[in-house]
Amino acid sequence: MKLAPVDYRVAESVEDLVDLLGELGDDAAILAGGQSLVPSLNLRLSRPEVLVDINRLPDAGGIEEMDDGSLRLLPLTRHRQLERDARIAADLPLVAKAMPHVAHVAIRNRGTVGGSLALGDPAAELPAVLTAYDARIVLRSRDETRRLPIRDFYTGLYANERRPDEYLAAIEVPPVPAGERIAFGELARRCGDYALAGVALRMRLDGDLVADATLVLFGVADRPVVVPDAAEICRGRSPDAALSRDLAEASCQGWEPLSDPTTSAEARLHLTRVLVTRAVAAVVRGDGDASRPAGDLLQ
Amino acid sequence: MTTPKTVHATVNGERIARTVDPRTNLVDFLRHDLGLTGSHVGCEHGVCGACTLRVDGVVVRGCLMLAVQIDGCRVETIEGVTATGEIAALQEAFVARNALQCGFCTPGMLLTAAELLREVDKPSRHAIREHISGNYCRCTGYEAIVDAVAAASAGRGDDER
Amino acid sequence: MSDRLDTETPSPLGRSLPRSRAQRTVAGQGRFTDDLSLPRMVHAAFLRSPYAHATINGIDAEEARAHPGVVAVLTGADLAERVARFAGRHPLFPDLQAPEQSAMPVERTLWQGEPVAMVIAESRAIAEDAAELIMADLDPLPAVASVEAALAEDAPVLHDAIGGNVGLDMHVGNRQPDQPFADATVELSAVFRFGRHTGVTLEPRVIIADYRSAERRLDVFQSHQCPHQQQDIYARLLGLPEHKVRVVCGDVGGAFGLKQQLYPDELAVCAASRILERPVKFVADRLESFASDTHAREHVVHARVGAKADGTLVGLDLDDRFPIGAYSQYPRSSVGEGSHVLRMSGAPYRLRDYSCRLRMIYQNKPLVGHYRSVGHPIACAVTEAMVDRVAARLGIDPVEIRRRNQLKDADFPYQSPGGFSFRYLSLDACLERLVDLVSYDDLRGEQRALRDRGVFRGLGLATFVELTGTGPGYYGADNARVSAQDGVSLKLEPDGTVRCWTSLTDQGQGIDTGIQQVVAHGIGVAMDAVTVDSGDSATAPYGGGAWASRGAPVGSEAALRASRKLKGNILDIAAALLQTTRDRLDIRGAGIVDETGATRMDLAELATIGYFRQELLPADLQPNLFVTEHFVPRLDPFIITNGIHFSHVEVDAETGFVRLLSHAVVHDAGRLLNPMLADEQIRGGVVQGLGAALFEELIYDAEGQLTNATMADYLVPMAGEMPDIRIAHVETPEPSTELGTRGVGEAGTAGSAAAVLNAINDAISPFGNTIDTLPATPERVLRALGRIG
Repeated sequence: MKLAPVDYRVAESVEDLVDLLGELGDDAAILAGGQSLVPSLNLRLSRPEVLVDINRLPDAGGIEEMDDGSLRLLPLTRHRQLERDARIAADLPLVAKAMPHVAHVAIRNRGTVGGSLALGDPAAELPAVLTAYDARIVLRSRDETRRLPIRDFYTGLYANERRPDEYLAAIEVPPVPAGERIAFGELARRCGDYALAGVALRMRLDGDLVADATLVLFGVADRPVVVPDAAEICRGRSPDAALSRDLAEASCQGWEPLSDPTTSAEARLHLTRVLVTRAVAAVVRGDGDASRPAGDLLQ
Repeated sequence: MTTPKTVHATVNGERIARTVDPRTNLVDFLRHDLGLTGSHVGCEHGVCGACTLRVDGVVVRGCLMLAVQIDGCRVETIEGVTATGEIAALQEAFVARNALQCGFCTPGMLLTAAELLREVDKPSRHAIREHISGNYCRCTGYEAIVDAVAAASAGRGDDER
Repeated sequence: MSDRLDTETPSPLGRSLPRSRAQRTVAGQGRFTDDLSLPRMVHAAFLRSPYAHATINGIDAEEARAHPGVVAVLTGADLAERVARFAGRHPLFPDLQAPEQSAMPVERTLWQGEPVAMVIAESRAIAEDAAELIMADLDPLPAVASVEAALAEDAPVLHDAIGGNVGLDMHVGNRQPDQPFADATVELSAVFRFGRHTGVTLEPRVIIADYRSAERRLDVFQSHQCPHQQQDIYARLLGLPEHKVRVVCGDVGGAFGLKQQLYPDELAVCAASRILERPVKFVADRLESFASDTHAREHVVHARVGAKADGTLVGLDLDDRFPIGAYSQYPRSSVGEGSHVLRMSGAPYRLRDYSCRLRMIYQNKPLVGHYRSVGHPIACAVTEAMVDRVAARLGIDPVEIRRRNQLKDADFPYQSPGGFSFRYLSLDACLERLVDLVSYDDLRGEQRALRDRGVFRGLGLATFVELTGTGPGYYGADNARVSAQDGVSLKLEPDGTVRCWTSLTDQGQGIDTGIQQVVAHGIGVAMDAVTVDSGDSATAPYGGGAWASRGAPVGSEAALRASRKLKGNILDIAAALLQTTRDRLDIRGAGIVDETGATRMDLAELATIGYFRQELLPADLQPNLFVTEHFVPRLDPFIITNGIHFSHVEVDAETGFVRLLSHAVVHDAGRLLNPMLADEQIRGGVVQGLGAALFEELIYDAEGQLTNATMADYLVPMAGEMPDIRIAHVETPEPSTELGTRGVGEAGTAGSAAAVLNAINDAISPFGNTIDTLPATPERVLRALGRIG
C-alpha cells in the first residue's frame, strides 16, 4: 500500500501555514504527528494534493499557563510529553490517566494533541478527557482566530467545525477546582487498542455528598458523549449503588451507539453502564481507575 | 507532478544527502535507497511494529514517517545500534534465551525494548509486556522476549560498573 | 557403526543451545527476500476482484499501460497460453472434486481479492497508481459466503461440474451417523463454530522471479517452506524443464503452513518474468495478505456424545461442515483440516462408537489450506468440550473423567474407530504430570472460594493426539509431488570444519541448529565447527522442506546417518595414515584420538591430505569426504505424538472480557534434541491457539466481502494479554528412528484453544449456559452470560 502521488510543503511559521491553508483549502492535509494521517494515506483512503508539514513550526509544542490559570496546550505537544508532564499529572489528572492507553510508545513519541483533536476519532481518549475538562479549541486562519467550546466542536463521525483553511492553534483548558476527584477507564480488547467503551468522570464532593459531576463517554458513539444531566442526578447525593444505577441509566439515553461486526450497539450500551458504575466506585475508592470492578464497594 | 525534495540527515552516524519523492515512506527509503534492510515492513499502518526505528533519539514507526521529514534529523536503525554496541547486552540475552525465531520482528522489538531499559531501571515483567505490546511477534509467543529483556536489565547494572 | 568411544566431551544432543541463525537476525543482518534486489528488477501489483463472485466481461488496461513507469499489464487472457491450469486433488481422497484453476481467471472471478490483472512497473507505488487506471468490467453474481448459504437448496453453485457446492462428502467410523448410543445414560449435543482465520506471518509473501533468457532458466527467490516442491510446480506449470528451475528460500519471516503451497499470484509473477525476460518482484502488502493468504479453521461441527452414568464415554458422533474457499488449494488440496477432524476426533479415548461425517464445501472466499496443526485444533476442541460437558452433567471433575476414559498403557497397540493405529501414547503420564505441574486441586479450591466473591475463574484441560512426520503414501501418487523423505549432505572442509546441507528448511523454528547438533554429535566435532545451509533447491539434497513438524524426526535421522558415514570415511583415512584399524580411533573436537584419548592428528591435517596430498594414502584408498544420506520414516504412516494443555482464566462477568491467567502444556515428543527450542516452538504455537480462542476471526458479510482486513481490525495476540506458559515433557522414545525424536512444532497450537474454551465454560458454569463459538469475544461471552440479548 504505497501512497498516491502527493506534494509536500513545510510550514516555517504560522503565518506561512495559514497562508498556505488559505490558498489550498481542502487540497491540503496538515501533517503533524502523522500517526493517523499516514496510515490513511498508505491505504489511499486520503488523497490530498499537498501535505503541509507543521513539525517545523517554532514554539508550536508545549504547555503554557495562562493569566487566568487556564492551561494552554500547544498543538504539536507530543503524547509522550503529555504523559510525563508533572503539571498535567497535577492539574489535569484525567489526561495523565488517559495517556498510557493511547496506542503504543512509538505512536506516542510522534502523535500530537493537536492532531488527535483535529481528527476526533470516536474511540480516542484525548478528545473525551478534554471534553470533560470543558476545553476551548482555538482555530486560526488567515483572516481570523476563533475559539469554540469543545462541546460544540465535534459534529459527527470524524466531522468537526474546523474549516479547511484553519489550523488548530491551541487547546485552552480552564482551571480545575481544587479537591476534585476523577475516574478514567476504558475497555479495549488489547493494550493500546481502540476502546469499545470508555468513561471520564469528574466529581466534586462536599463532605460525603456529591456537589458536582461531569461524565463523558467515548468509544461508544460517533463522538464524545457528554451525559447532560450528570450533575443534576448526582448533586446532593451520596456516591452509592443507587446513584451509580441512576447515572448509568441516564448515560445510555439520547445517543446512537456504534455497532460493528464484532461488538453490537446493545453490548456498547451494556458496557457503558458497567463502566459508569465502575467509575463511581473508583471515585469512592480514590484510585480513579474505572477499569477495576466495583465489587462490594458501592452499598 | 510532485516535486522531489533533497533531505540532509544523519543516519547511523553518517551524513547523507538524498533526493526523495515526497510519497516515499521512511522505512522504504532506508531499506531501498540506503540499503539498510535491517528494519522491516509488516503492515504499513503503524500497528505491527516491524518498522520501528529511532528518529532524534526516540522510537517511531518507520512506515508512518515520510523520508522527506527526516531533513535535519538523526536516524538510527538496528544496524547503527549494533555497530555502536549500544544494545549488545540485549542482543546477547535475546540469542541466549531464543527470544527470536524468524527474526522479522526482532529489530523493532530490540529498539523498543532498549528505550524501556533506558528509562526504567528494572522493569517488572508486566511493565515489559505493556511496553512491547505494540510489537507483533508471531513466533515466540512473547514469553522468551520478556525473559530476555528482564535478564538484560538485571545484568546491565554489572556491565556499567 | 559403533557409538563414540569418547564419552568425555559432552555431546550437544539434548542440550538447550542457542540458534546459529539468530546471530545474524538479531543484528538486522537477516537475508529476507525483499532485502534482495536484482539488476533491471521491476515490481508487480495486482488489481484484485472487489466482488466475491463475478463474470469478467473485459479488462481495459490501455490507460494503465500508457502510464509513465509501467512496463506491462497482464491479464488472465495473456497468461492462459503460457501457464498450465492446475487442480488441488489428493491421491488418498479420490472422491474429492477439485475444479481447475488458473494463474489469473479469464471468465469468472470466484473470491474477493482474486487477482484479475497484474501491473508491472518501475516501482510498487507506480504499479499501484496504474492499477487504479484499469477498467475491469465485472458483473457481480450471487455469492456464497457461509455454510448455510452454500448448503441451501437454491444455493448459487460455484462449479457447475460438481453440481452443488460440496466438494467431498465422506464418513469415517464404525457406525452410521445419527444412530443412538446403546447403553448411554447421558446424551449431549452441541454445535461448535470456529472462526475463519489466517496465519498473519509478519513477513508477508514475497517472490522475485528471474527468467534468464540466454540459458532459458528460471531462478526464483521466495519466502517459502518447500523449495523443491516449488521447483517442480513452476517447471511443470510453466513448461520448463525441471532442472532449469531453481528456487531459493532465504530467511523467512514466519510461515506456519501459509508458505507451503502454490499461490496463483506468485505463479503469475514467474510467468511475467518469463514474458518480460527480467526480474519481477512481488511483495504482498498487509491488505493483500489478509485477503489472499491461506485461510483456515472455519468449521461448523455438530457433535453428539454418549456416556454411562459412571462417566464411561460410549461414543462420539460428529458432523463437520468444513467450508473452504473457491478452489481446493494446490498441490496438497484443501482437505487436510477436514481429514484430521475425521480421524483424530476422540483419539485419546476408548470409544466404542465413533462416527464422523465430513463435508468439504466450496464458497466464494479465499482458499483454505494448511495452517499450523491443520485440523487438530478443531478435533481437539470439539472432543474435549464434549468430554467436559459429560463431566459437568455427571458431576465428575474433568481430570477424573479423563483418567477413566483416556487410553491407558495396557490398551496399546490400539486401533481407533477413526481408522488409526496407535502404537503407544503416554496419555496417562502426561495427564498426571500436568495435574501436578499446575497444582490443579489447589486451583479448584481457589476457584470455589473466589466464586463466592463474584470472581469467576475457570480451569480447562485439553488432551490431544497429533500426527507429525507424515510418511510416504500420503502424497506422491496422482502427481502430488510432495516428498516425504529428507536428506542431509556433509562435506569435510579443508580446514577440518564440516559444512552441511539439508533438504529441511528453517523459518525460525531452529531445525538448522538441531541438525547442527546431530552432526556435531554424530561426527564428534564441536558445534561451531559445523555450518548448516538450506533452502536452495539446486544445492540442497532433494526433500520435503518444512511441513508436518518433520524436521526433528525425519531430518535428524538423515543427519545422523550422514554423520556416521562421513565419520567412517574420515576414520578409514585416519586408520590408513596411522596404520591402525578404525575401531581403535575416534573423533573428538578438532582431532582424531586413539583408545588412550591421545590426539593423533588434527582433522584439518587429515582433510589437507585428503584434498591435496593423496600420494600419502594407500593406492586403493579414494578419499571421499562428501557424503549424502536420505531418510524416510517407514514404520508407521505418521509419527504420532500426544500431550495435554491446561488453561486458567478469569472471566469478567460484567464485561465479558476473558483474562488468561496462565497456561501449561505437558508434551511427549520423544527424545528432545534441544529442549529450549522445543519449548519455544510450543510456546509460539500455544499463543497462536490463544489468538484463535479469544481474538482471531476473518469476518465476511453475506456478499463475501471481508470486513476486517487490517491489523487494527483483525486482532492478533500481542504481549499484553498473553500469559507465561509452563511446559513439561514426557520422553517416550519414538521407535521408528534411532534418535527417537518426534515432531513438536505444532503441538502448542493443537490444544491451546480447546483448553481455553473449556476454561471459559468452566468459569461461567454458574450462569447455566455455554459458549460454543470461537473466538470467545466479549460480545459472545456477554450473550452466554445472559447480560445482553
